[in-house]
Amino acid sequence: MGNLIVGVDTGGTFTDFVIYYPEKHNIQVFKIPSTPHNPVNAVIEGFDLIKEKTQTKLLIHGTTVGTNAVLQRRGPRVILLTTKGFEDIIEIGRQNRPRLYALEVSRLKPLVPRDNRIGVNERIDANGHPIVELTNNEIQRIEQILVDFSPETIAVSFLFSFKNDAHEKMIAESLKKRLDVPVSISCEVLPEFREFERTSTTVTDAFLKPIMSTYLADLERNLVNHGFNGNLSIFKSDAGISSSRIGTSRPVELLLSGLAGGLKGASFSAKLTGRVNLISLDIGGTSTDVGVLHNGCESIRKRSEISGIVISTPVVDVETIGAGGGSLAFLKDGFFKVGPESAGSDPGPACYGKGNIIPTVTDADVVTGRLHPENFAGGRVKIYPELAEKSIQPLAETLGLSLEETAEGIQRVYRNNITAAMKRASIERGHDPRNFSLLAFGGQGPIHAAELGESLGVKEVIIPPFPGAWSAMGLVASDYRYEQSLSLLTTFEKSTFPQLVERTKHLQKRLLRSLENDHISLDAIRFEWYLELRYLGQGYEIRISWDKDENQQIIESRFKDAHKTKYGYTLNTPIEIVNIVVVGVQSGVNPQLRIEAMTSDLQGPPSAEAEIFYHGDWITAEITTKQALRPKSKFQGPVIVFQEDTTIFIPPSWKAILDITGHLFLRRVD
Amino acid sequence: MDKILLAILQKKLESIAEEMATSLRLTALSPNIKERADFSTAIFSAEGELLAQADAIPVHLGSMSASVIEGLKSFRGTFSPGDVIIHNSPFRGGTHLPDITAITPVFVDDTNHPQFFVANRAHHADVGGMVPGSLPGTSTEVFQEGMIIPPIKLFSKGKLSEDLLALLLENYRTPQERRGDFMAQVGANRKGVKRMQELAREYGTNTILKAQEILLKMTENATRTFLVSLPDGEYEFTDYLDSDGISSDPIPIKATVHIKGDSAIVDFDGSAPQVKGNANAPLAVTKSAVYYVFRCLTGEHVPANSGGFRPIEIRASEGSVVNPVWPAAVSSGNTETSQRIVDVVFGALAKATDIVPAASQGTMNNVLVGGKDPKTHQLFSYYETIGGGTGATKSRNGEDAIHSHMTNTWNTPIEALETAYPIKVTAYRIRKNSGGKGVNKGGDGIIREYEFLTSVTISLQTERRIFAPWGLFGGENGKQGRNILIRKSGSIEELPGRITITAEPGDRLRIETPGGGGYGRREMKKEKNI
Repeated sequence: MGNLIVGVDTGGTFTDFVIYYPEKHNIQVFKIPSTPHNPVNAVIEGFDLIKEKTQTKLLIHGTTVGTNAVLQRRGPRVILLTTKGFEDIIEIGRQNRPRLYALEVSRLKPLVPRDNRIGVNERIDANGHPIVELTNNEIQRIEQILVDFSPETIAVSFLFSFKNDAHEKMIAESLKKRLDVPVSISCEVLPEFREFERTSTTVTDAFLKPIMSTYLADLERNLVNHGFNGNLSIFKSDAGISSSRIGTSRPVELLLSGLAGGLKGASFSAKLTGRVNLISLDIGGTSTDVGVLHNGCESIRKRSEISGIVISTPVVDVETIGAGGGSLAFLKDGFFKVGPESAGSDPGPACYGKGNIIPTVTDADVVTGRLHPENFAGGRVKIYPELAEKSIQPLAETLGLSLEETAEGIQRVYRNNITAAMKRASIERGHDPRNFSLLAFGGQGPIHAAELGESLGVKEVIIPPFPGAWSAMGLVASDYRYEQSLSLLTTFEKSTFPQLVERTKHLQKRLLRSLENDHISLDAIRFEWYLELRYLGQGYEIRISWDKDENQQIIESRFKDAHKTKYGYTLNTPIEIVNIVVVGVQSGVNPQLRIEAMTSDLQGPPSAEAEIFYHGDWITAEITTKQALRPKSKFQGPVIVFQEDTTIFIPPSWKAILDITGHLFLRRVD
Repeated sequence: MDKILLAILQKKLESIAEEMATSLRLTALSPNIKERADFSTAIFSAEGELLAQADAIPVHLGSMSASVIEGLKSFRGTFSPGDVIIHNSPFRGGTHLPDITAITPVFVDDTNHPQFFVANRAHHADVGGMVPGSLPGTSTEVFQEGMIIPPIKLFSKGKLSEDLLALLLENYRTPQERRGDFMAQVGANRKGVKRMQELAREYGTNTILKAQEILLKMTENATRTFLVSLPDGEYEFTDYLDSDGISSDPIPIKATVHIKGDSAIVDFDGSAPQVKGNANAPLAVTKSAVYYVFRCLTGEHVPANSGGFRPIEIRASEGSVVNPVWPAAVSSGNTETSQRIVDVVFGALAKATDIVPAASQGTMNNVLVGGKDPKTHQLFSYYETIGGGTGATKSRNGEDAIHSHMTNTWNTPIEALETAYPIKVTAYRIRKNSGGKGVNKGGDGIIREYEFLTSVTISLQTERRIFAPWGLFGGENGKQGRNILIRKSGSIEELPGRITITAEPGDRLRIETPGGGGYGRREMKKEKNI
């Protein structure tokens, strides 16, 4: 085994590879078309392309297998055991509807239909006292029912199990002996209050278990057959990595890892460039993810929704909108719209020639000269500029504008939509964009980065070295994270600081035990402690870090500061300790980059100049390639920079400078 | 003006309203504003026409504009930069007293009259009156529901009127929180003013005024296009509120919708005179409910602005339950009567088009429980609303166990409720088979059962306990809701829809919420299957 690190990020269209060579401070990136019917195939195809593949020490994988199973509702039959009388909690949800003015009110169905939900005669009260004991007879009765169901996977979620987990554990133990199927119990998956969110998270975990264990076993077996003898780690929704065993034992923690790669890539950029306040903008073919990195930290949210399924395990706090290269431009009732409807990658923009005739943002980028046929996806995808023009023509006629004006109009509306999303992600979370830099990546990010930065009002725009693969880079730059939480719902009046320390130590032991059960090495593990606090009576929590050497006053003032930043004020109300959290962290790869070492086989541009339609006029822009740029070289727009995985547009009145880590800094010339 | 610039300006106006909303939510103190998001922010023309609004509570949609116009009337010609007008009168564009509207003029280009207004409305947690929370179940005069604020300048030329504020705060149970909420409302408007001025500088005031005119016209045209698609005619529908809680008489609400070409008149002639209890819906609530219906029908892609109101004339005679006069009690007009107004307008339109859904549960099932917590010896008061079934449509079944039409607030988790109050939830599930049968079935309601661990006073404001949510085109009605008190002794009392009653430890209250109406005669389904 050598020391090669490989990051593999499976996306809807492409599977991205990042190969990191630790001695050379160098990375290589490439893309393989994804194979949605069996995602393993693309991983293996790409793995085989790595010359030194047998030297792989660590392969870090981000997968959307679970996400797709949830989106398509295709997976095993889940049986849910709940407290009797509360079988429908998972279906009632929070009783709010998703769209206010929809004539037809509709929610997506939960992962477990009514007939597969079984009430168990037991009840724990708010103090953790069993007011209806779970009897052996009852367990036997339930098991008898279950045998008839022949379940494929089981979820157990009883009321107040975070206060007293005895009943859940009793029935789970018994089931494991009797039936050979995976069992997810809520006191292990998410021992936190709010019965709907906990139940939904547990059911999702149960649903994913058979899927993820089959997938990961299949992947590992295939990799080994193709010469892999390193460690396989997986990337999780909280932007941490963990041993692939977690993917089998706590699969719900990976469900939204697709969102986390970009933000982790941004935090890697923060480390390399010394910019601790970054707005991360990841624009792809169909959607845009916006996240914020404040003081170098990713923020985590505890409630996420995907396709009507709510989970409450930690997920990076990212705002997603339907805007990307494939966003369709059209008129409806006279109103001009760009997205969220998208042509996706198949059929894709009109210029792909695969049958879509409605113009997209990419078509507008082609017509205005920002995108060139010779550098489209590094020249690997053939496009037809005349089809882009043809798609925009009818729209131009309806609008009474020229072809170019219409194309530029599509771009402006598209940027305006993304700007609104960036404002929500930053201002709504209490951040002033003027104190931030914008990191623009994804295949589409650098095409409009400068103008997007200007409309948001950030001080500068940064393009990372490999924008199209920066999410995969995030995988390689991650640390190992293992998290365990527990709801206390107490106040400092009721439980003292030493008691809090004791309970947290206890929780830490519990985390260690569960890691041992998963055969995870505990080398050099360090622990971070968090409290999730709120003012008594509030409905949301804020996560605060702390340790045993501090005291109540320090924690309270830290909470108040955070509350002030986020919500603009503090109160004199008592503070409620909602959850205690322990995170076990082990350092990951910690990659270093040097631009001299980065290589690319992209050929120089055939023409040295491009005509670009900009602000209503055709202007001439110089064309260069990324590898033609030297560190610290400065240049001024208008310039188009070709690189394998994207095109960067530097408008007139903007200057750019490349740093030694391959990040390109764009600033407006005043 | 080209449609591209229009699309951009439309989005910018919406973004400004959204930014105001964020500012208000972040800085307000009331849980109602912060957690349940019971507020709206919006931008208005110089004449008080709604231009853009942050996605909000449906009952605020049309009523905000009415409040702004009342504010304009009171102070026309005397506006200065930095003014903030507040008011909440249900008889001058308000909904109910806890909803207080703050309006600020926007001056651009150094002119001496405002070119725009920004405004927001927020539900304050208490505005005085006979009960904490200012939503009494048994009020018979508006004075019992809190302090009425006519349009007043809380700020003049940027200067706070300390006297006025002191007068207001003296009348509230939680003055510090109120002060904070007022300042949050003022701050949100300031942000709106600043952003509107920036927008005017960037694009030119005339461009924005021109865009305003076109956008209003486009929404108007989209609404007219929908109206033209309906056959001309007069369509009538009558439905009933079970009672006003004071007398047991049903309260008829009747709508006649006249469709003529591209316009509509919605006439409430034949509705009950205003009632003694608090089921009276102020005119602004009535208008909001009507606009809500047409907004649903026109489609969500059309921007919400006053242009959509233009083709629709609303006739509601003064002194009726849908346009009460001072000093009528109005507290449940906003929560319950508004739902019935939606039902009758949809019901009338069902005679013109088959895209209308059958009736949804038609109530918010307001449950209020108060008492003294035996553990802490503190008084507590717990309020919640419960979802139910929605009506089926031509193409799909109704949804189960969800909030419909004029509200959309979240439930309280059982684990939060039981931790904070001496109440135990003994059942919470879907009320199976409560939706009306039909080709498409109405959504089912909810069963929620509470056991009290101490002596409590229960106040219920619930509807559809007598008059069921109707089915459409042969679809059956949804089941009425039920309120049942099961005494510890085992005796069972069926409670009326609106009541205040005491319960002892061990007693259980069971609320069964209504199902939605079905759509289409069921036999047809069998034929279709053959």
